[in-house]
Amino acid sequence: MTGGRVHRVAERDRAVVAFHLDGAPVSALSGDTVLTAILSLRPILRQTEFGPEGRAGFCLMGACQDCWIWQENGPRLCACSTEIRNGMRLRTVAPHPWDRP
Amino acid sequence: MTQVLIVGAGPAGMRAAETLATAGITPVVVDEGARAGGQIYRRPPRGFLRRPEALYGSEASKAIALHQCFDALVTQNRVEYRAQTSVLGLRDGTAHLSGPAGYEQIAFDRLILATGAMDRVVPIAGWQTGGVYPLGAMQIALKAQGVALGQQIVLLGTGPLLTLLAVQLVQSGADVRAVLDTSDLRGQVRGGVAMAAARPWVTLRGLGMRRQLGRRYHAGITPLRIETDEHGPTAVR
Repeated sequence: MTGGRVHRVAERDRAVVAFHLDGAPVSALSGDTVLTAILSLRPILRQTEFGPEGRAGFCLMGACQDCWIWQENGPRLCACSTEIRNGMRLRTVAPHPWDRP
Repeated sequence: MTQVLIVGAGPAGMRAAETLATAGITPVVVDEGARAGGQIYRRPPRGFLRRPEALYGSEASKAIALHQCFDALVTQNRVEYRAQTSVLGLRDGTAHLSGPAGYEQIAFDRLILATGAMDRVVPIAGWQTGGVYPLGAMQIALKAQGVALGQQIVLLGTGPLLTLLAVQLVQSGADVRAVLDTSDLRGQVRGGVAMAAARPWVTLRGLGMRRQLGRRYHAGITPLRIETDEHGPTAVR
């Protein structure tokens, strides 16, 4: 698969939001969750802490803990339950060596 | 006064809050959502334009009534609503919360848990691959974000929600490649006769939906495994 995993089928006429993903400037739409924003660009949301595989979220209702994303300044956020904001700086790989497989 | 804590602002939590408010009690409702509604009656972020009929189908009037009732109680300060807040722990009458303002505690002497449910997935080989989602996740994505989770989608499962989700996706313009139902048609007809006698309109609506799926729909499937590459699922055997 190339490009994003999500297919925008409605509500496409929203303001653009600029953010950084793994150091690169990218954009999404206002009202997107962080999960939607990243999966509109890539098929995989993040690297798991426990092995080599990528994760793409699962339950989308904040219950399964499969969509944690890191911010460059440290704190994690739950990608399916957090709205994307202008200027967010996100990373898909854990910032600390002890957080990686 | 009795301090009642309600966890969850889906239909059950919202109606519990209404019942307490009517009795003169002001409950605190703690909810992880950004807006009250839960999942079935989940509301998209502000600024989304689709009408309730497009989001909730035949349930639209119930969803609107529920949202308006709860919003009015919050506006009138008869219910205290805490959005985007998680309950980390409950002990000795104290709730430990994590919300937009960070960590805080609130005291309670009565507790109502209305925390809802999460999909359970039958684990066939490959189910755990990133990019495989439960049915509820697909519905949330469509309703609350206007997206289909997948450029090309295969749906696998059984029951009336499988057909409903498939039709919702097809009508929205998503690329649904196949709808694979693990029940065979003979079993469906057997159950369908009793269903038609008990709820004829629901049965008729279901049959109409099934017709819309046309040749995408396959009954009596036995799934063996989900094949994957480094980006996620690629095929179902």
